[in-house]
Amino acid sequence: MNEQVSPIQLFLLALPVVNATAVLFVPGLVGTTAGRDGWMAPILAPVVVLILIAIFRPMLRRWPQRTFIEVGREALGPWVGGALGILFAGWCLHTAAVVLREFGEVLSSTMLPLTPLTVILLLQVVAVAWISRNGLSALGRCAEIMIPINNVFIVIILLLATRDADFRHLQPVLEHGPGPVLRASIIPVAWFGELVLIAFLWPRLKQPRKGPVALAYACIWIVLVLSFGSAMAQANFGPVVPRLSLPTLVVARMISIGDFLERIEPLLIIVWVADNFVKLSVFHYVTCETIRQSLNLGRASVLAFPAAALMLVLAVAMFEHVTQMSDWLAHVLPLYAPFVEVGVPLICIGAGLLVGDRRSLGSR
Amino acid sequence: MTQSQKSWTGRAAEPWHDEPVSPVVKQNKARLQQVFGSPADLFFREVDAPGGPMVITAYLDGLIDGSRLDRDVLQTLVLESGGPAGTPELPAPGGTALSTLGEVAQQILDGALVLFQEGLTVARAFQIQAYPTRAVTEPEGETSVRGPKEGFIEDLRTNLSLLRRIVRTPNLRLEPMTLGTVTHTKVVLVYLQGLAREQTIAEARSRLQRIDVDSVLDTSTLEELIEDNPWSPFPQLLDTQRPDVVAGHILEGRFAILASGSPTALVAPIGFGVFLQTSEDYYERYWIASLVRLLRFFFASLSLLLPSLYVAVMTYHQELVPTALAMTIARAREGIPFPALIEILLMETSFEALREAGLRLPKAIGQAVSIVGALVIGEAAVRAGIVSAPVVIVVSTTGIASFTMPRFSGAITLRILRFPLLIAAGSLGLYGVTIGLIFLMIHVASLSSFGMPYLSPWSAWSPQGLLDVFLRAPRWQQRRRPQTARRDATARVEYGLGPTGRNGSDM
Repeated sequence: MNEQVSPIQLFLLALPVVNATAVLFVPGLVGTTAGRDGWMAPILAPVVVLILIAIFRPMLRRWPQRTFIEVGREALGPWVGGALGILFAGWCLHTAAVVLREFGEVLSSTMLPLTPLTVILLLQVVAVAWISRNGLSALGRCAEIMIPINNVFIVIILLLATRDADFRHLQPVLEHGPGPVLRASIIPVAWFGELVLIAFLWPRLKQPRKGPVALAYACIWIVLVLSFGSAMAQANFGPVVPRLSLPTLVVARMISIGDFLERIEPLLIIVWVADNFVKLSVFHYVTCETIRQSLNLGRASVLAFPAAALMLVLAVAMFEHVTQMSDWLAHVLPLYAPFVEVGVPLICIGAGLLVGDRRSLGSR
Repeated sequence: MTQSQKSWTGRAAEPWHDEPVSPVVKQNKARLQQVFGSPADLFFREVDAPGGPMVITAYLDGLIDGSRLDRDVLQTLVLESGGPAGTPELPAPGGTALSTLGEVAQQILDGALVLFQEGLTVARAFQIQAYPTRAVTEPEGETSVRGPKEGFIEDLRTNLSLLRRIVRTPNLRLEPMTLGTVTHTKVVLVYLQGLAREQTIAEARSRLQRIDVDSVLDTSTLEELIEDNPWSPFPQLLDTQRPDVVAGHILEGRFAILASGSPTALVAPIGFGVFLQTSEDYYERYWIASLVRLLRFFFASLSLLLPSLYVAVMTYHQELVPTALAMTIARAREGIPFPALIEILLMETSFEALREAGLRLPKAIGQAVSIVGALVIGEAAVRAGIVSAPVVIVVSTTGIASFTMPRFSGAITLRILRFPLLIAAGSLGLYGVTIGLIFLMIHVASLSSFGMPYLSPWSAWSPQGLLDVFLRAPRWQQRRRPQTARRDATARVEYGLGPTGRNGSDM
């Protein structure tokens, strides 16, 4: 594994994995469930990341240079381990396709209503396949340029929105007790669980043990942005929030500074396109890498374009319309995503630790 | 003499190449005349003083110093040939022994005076070259108000001496090699031993040695042959005509390539940020240098993006424009027969044509072209209602922005990339621009210059590395050399060297 990233690059890769989509969707969702206390919901969600760190840490200590797919394949044999790896890759590709579809739906509903969805998605998919083929280092460098700009931009947009913000909308705090907040904090968990991809990339760090730290910092920043975004949506729109599908976008539309900066939501969409590009690239890269490691193939780069094509077809064909997608997101995804996100690493690493000493896994 | 196609490329040695120098001097002369084809400028001078062996000198007129030929060579030969039979010692540098005709021919072509002596099977070469060279002047493309005004010229020896006079250490390595099977161009790899990374230098050396072409007319030939990604629109080596720029770069662990006949040195490994720097930045005070750099970054991005942003916003996202401005633009665009994309493409193309037309014309006519062009395009086209005034403003701002880029080779890249972005903006609006930028970013992030990431100062994310990218921090702040230097040679300035009231004199 000569393709390496630095802890800062990993930190920056982790941000869009959650934020690319969560910044737009989470404020509305938590606002619906927890009302004016919605901004507190993201704070509890990173618990799932703590679970991930707890699972991955023993592996990191034992085999800092190996991914859990490799450990699982070694411990459970090529058939069971490989199957688990393919399951993980399938989840990865599937989730990426869903993300891609969400991306396309938002884009075509806000900016390009007349452009065919396939055209919009095709361009993004080609970009994703290209960077993934060029490797993790290149992706890390891309993230280093794009993600700081994007995050600064999002924070500036949210700060500009303070003009119309009325923070009395956030009071009284915890009117209905902690119940709704706890229930609402389940929502961002789905996004934070996707950070398992970043844990997958830990072995690619120059110092793999810095991985959990980078991820923890990333979680802190993500929580800050999500909380701030939810609070701004609430402060700007108060009880109307549940009726807005993408409150953050409406917040951006409301901005008007000195009759000069007005209606800047297309700029937010631009940032969001770039964020989604990095997020999808991480998914795509991990998909290809997982397939390579599960099947013990030579290079992952040959998989880049086929996997991207599959992703595009899935994204276009999986749902007929947005309503179907929302229904699927609400009812099907929560049933199987956590099992793959947490379950597959747990089985692989657990088996590795159990079998490890007997077969002297670490020797290679 | 029939010369096969193959020998013309000079790759296979010609039959006379390994022929030994004959002890009979007249025969050597005859052979040389045959090999060179009795040209107008190949001169022989026979000295056959009584009592001594016969001596013949051969040289190319125009490559050697006539006065030294008279004073040092002929006088010595005539005066000393009466003495004991031996090899005459000439008061001239050189004296290299040559044993084959090939070596002799090469030395003559290099401008040496070759001396044959009756009875000896070795000839000797004396270096008394003198040929017309241009004066050392300030390069036109890289002028500076403050700082040295020397520039490279076409003569390699002069260029190397300019460098030697700036960096006076035996660690300054000048590795010679000869490239071009026909032109036999001298190429020198310059670096600082102990500061440059060994693997980078080894890579540069092997890439240069791999070159197998007939001619090297300029360092640009080498550039195209040693780039990491030959298809990229981005230059991966910096071209400069200033010795102080080369010195500054090799002091940061980079290497330079100079070639005889070329006033342009190549520098690598570099990142794209280098194309936004000038030597002036380092001679002016850091406040103005930093602010000017930020200005350049801003205008460089404008030169890439402004036309496509205009097209995207005017075609797809009119709501982004402040209301009053949108009204003004709408009024200006009223009655214009073309969509914004076509308007911009028309204007951009004519602007590029205008620039190209004015470039190579004599100065007097060039001005006429630009006046006519400005009048026709700026004034008449708007009056006639063919293009709108905002488009003229956008295109001319873009033109000015691309001129703020101090390095031509970098500015060209952005100029080219502007057009695909324009098409993307016209077809998909801001999404097209963003996707275009993402594609650009993927390419740049995957690019490297001699193993260094092309984005290295940014992607390094070390505060020290960034001190010399967007800003030009004061010298005493730039404590570390960039990544290009060897890892054990990063310390440049000691901590706390900044002038303060405490560590100066008592004043």
